[in-house]
Amino acid sequence: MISWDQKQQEILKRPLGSKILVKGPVGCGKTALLKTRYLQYIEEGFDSQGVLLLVMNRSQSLLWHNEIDEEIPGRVVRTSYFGFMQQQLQKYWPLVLARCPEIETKGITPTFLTFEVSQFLMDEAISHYREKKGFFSTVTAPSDRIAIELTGNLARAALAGIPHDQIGMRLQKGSSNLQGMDQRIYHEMDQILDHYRSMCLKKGCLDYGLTAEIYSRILLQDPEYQKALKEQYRVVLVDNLEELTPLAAELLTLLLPNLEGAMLCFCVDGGYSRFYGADPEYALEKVKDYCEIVELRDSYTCNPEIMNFAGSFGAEIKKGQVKPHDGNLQVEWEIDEMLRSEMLRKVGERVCSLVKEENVPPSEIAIVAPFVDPVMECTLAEHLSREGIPAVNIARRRRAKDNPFVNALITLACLAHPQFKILPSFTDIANTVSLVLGMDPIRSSLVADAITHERPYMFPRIEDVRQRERIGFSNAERYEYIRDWLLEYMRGKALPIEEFFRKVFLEILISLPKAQENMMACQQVIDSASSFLKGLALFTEIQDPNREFVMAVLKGSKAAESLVDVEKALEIEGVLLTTPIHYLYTSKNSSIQIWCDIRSSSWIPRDIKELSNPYVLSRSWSPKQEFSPEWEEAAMLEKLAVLVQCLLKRCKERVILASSQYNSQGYEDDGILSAFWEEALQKSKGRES
Amino acid sequence: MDIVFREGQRQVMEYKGGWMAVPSVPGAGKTFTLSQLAVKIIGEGRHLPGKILIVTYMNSAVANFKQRISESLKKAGLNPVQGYEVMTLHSLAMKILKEKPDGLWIADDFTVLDELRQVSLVKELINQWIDRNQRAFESLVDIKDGSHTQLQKKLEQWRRKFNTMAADMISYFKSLRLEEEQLLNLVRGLPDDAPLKWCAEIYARYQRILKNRGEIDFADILNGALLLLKQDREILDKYQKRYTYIFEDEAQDSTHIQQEILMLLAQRSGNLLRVGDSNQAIMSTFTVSDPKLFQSFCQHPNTQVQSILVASRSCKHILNLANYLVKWTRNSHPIEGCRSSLEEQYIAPVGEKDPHPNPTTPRYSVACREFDTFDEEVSFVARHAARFIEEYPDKTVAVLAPKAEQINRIRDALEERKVPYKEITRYPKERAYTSDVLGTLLDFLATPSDNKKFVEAARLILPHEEGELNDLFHYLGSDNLHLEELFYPLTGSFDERQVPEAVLEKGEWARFKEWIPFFKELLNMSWEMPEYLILHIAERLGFSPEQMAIAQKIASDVRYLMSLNPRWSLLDLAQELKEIQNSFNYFANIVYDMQGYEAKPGEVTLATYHKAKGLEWDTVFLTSVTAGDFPAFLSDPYLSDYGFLKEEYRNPVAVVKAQLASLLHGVSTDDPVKQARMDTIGERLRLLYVGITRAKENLVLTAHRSYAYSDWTFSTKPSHYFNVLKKYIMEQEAIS
Repeated sequence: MISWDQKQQEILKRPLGSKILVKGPVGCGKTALLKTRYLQYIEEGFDSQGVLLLVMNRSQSLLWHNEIDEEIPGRVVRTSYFGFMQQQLQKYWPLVLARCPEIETKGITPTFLTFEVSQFLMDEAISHYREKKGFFSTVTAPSDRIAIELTGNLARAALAGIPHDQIGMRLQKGSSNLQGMDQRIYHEMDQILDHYRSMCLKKGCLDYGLTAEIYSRILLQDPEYQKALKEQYRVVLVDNLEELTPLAAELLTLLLPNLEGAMLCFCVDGGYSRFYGADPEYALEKVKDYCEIVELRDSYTCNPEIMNFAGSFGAEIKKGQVKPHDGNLQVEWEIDEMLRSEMLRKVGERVCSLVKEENVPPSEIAIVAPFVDPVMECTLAEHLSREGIPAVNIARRRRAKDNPFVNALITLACLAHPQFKILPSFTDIANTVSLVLGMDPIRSSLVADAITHERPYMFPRIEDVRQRERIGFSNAERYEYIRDWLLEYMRGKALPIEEFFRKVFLEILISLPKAQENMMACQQVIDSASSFLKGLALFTEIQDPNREFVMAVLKGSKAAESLVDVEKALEIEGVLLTTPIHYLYTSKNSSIQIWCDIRSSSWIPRDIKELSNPYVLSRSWSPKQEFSPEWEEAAMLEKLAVLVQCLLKRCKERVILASSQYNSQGYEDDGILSAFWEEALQKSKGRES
Repeated sequence: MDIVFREGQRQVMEYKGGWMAVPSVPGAGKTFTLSQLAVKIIGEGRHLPGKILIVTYMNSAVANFKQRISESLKKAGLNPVQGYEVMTLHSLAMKILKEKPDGLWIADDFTVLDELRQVSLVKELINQWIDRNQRAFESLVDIKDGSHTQLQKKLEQWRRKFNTMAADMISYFKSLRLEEEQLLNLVRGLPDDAPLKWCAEIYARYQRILKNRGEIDFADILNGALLLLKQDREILDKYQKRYTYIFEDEAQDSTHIQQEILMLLAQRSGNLLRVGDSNQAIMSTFTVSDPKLFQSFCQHPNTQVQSILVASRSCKHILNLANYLVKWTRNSHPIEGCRSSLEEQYIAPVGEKDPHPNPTTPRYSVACREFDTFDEEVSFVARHAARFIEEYPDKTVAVLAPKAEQINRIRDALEERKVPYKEITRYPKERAYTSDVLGTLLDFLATPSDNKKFVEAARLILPHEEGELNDLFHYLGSDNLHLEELFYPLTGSFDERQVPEAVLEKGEWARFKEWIPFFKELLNMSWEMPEYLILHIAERLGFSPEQMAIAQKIASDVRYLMSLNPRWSLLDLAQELKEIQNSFNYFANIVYDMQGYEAKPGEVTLATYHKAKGLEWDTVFLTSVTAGDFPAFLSDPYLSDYGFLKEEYRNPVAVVKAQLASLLHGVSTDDPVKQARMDTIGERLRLLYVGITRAKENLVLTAHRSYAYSDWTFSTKPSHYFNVLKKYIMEQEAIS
């Protein structure tokens, strides 16, 4: 049972007909209030289908899932704004078709393109224009990275309600120091954007940006739709109002006047989704006239000293001027080594001493770093596991193929489809053999040797395998089975890749010892293949989408993590390894935070990239204005301030800072965060030198 | 004790601001003086609100400066890490570039292509280019007299040399800030057999690939930084405010771009102090550094010049020899155009009252020896160096050689005699250990049924003396042993009866058996992601901090290398790691250089003449003072000359540069090959001067008349300088 403070009780006692805007710091209990409020509505007999619950993203949505869903008899309409748009487009697609002549394929529903598919299509378009027309000749960046920026530009413009044909012009105006040839780049970008956009739209395919654009530009303007929308929802509850994009805020403005009740929560320390298009000030402005505002001041996730320090430190960072902080500051710059490897070792040792000597529970320690690379993960995990301390990485970034089962799926797909013309590596084959036949690595390598003996790789008959006597009788039998299976498959017509994967999984992998724990990874690849093929099915110019999918996995563009993994990871009680953003997106707080790599400039990466600039694709900037570097600097400081403040406010006892003079590539690092800490700690007990 | 400054140093310590040039002789205490000056300025707070920036050449020098300044600041009761920054120009440029790569259309997650990967990319491009332009490529080769096989051999040599040349030319084009399009337009009218045109085409292709991959090379870092400073007022402002004083060390090796960057940064404060020694400019024939820059800075009317000409490093015999070389060059060098290769700048001893006077020796301490073969020379040097560390356990000694190949031979000789040594070269063996051991283990794990690879790994892992465990290794490598039966016996356990008796009886098997669990553990992990495997091996083998840093760098690069080529696997990584010249050993140098270097008694330092710059030892052996390595006449053999090419193309680099100069500025050099030879003569002469001035007490010069290389023998002769110095040494010896 939660015990509410007086202010919180007051909020919950308000009549259900009120529309409340709750403002408060990190850890003031907003989300808990919102959950209770939700249950109040349901208990009062509101139909859950008429209560719209807007959350920030899917991982937030999961946090609600466990506590609320089981208590509610009906369906909980709990969605991110993006999910909401998708549902609405799906439901009202005929209305869209009637009003949007650009869509030539008149299907029953739109096809939503996954991230991988839209990346693939954009990458193809860019590579084509680069290769054939010499576009982007001065740009130093791989096409797949440019693809991310370009699809991002479309999405950002759509979410801010900026017409897509203004993108190039805005970016050009926002960029100083352009020389003659450089201006051409933006025209080239516009051409590619146009090509990509109309190609998708024609077929009724919507990526992230097009979803937002079509929803707001077409569907939301439809009077019939507006009427239906207002009738559908009686109550709206919003968690993290500060992370909403302008379009989402405008939806609220549309709904609020007719609602029977509302509660919107605004975290005053939030706004870290700005880079993804959030606009906290705009959102607040849009809703405040319809609501009564209640402010909460106390935080329950952080001690008052850190809370105070966080407030003033954040405010100083915002101004770019940090003063030395006196007093009993619970922040120490304990570790500052020459080499990053030494820093990691020291951090590992420090965690051990916290757990063993100071009796801090592992789950009360968070190691926060701007990037959690495999080196960091492995070094710390290895160090900690030797000492019997559990650790969990919630910022893990792996490629799907790093999973041995997925590797087997992909390797077998290459072997079974010589028409792909992809020769898997010796190592991949040996690993697959080892997994599938349950063989030790040495005998597997002998088999792999036999397979790769001729090109295209083929499974020879066991009699033809050199050194077959070394493989062992029962291994040979199993080998024969797989060989027959493959040959049988190859004699028939090739299946779509997702079906092939499914077949391999059900007929070969499922009986293996660790099948259960790897099922999820395989399922994800199968799902992903399915949506990849579905997305590309409409684009007949793509030669073999099956092959392209396999290539995408091999290239590592398919990531392995899903929200389910993150959720599972969070259940483990261990030292948390995380990036600031991953940490903030959970609702975790910790007794001890260890901030690593604080000299790294990755703590606050620049928002402006070679072909994107979020500032000029926002509502708050007009092309009539001059875009000055001060604008960017102010925004960066603001972002850093928010990040630092939010992190500190999730710390209950102590912050330990760790750094190295040289980064892992051997270059000296001196990001702005370390400079601020140097200033702040100068007079406190801080670091000696 | 109060610090005493010498003549010259004292005046430099009075530096208040503005432009100052400090030409100084070897051993003048440049690092000491600059560090003290920095400490003084910080103590007086004159640097505020900014910092002092010290730019130097090598990472080891960075470490040296940092250590000295922080110690002095600590002694003065000041914060040891505040008020200054020391870095190489590359680090500085990188820092500037990272501010705003998008300003140059560069993705912020760009990767840096190091020299080795650059060379291998160029190799790929060259092979493609040659396939398309076979005839033009072959047209430069001297085909008169010679068999078909000889011609093939020449072509192969040309292909290899062209590779290095094209890589150098790419850097050269970049140093001139020539865009690929611009260059292509420039060479359009040239005939198809003009190597400049080839280089331009390869350059364009190279640039395209780099851009599409989001990579930049070292030259791009410098160019990018300069361009950003020029076009972005904000960044320039920020750095101009940040650095109120700029000190440049080794200014004789400065490049146009380096100078321009530092001048720009110092524009606001006006405070630029450059220290250098024109007589130690030894980089200009193979990099884009230009000793004339420092010379003209010295002559600039706004520059205050304060030389430091006294030095206490060497005894008078060595000083005299160095000064004699300068005097002889200025007056009597057989090629008149080379007489200005050494500036008229003589080293003076500090005088007896100085707290650190020049060392004295009981007798004349310079000698020279000539040998019939290089092998004899090596054996002499190894023997004497070994004897020296035995007889003088508290003194330091170094053996210098011009080329890495020669160093390797000397190293082998020292190893054979079990003489402890430390190597300072581009790729020292000791520093390559990390990648070698990882490479060897991964190579085995990638193909674990291969006995040969297993033996290689076992040799590295099992502790043993040279010559020990031979029977064991022989057995492990033989076809008689099936590794799967050893590690994964189907019958439950390995049947030891098959192990040869000799191996069992000598206890070798028992020693090996202790390591079976280690190998098995790795085998069981071999399906893991390579980065995990690498880090696990590092952990298990108890790597030192430096080795760990290298292992982590390798682990963190694996993913990137894989993304460049999805089919790339453990085996490819293993192969790269086993190459002694791999990208990771380049990083290894950075890591090891962080500690700085100080000569230690009791071991022989083995270094190239180039790497010896800035260092000193009590006794120094200068080896290979031959006509090939230190040419004095235009008729001497030249490294830059390719005998297999037609006469007019013998030095294609010089030809290409001259051709480019005439296209760009309309100036034509009469005889570019001759000019290039004269440049080489001057630079190698200065290299010899650098070598001589490394010695404090004893100096031995050696040379040979023939050099055996695998199956053939070159004849050569001692350098003309060797003969000139020999004569002088004998006279001096007679006098004393």
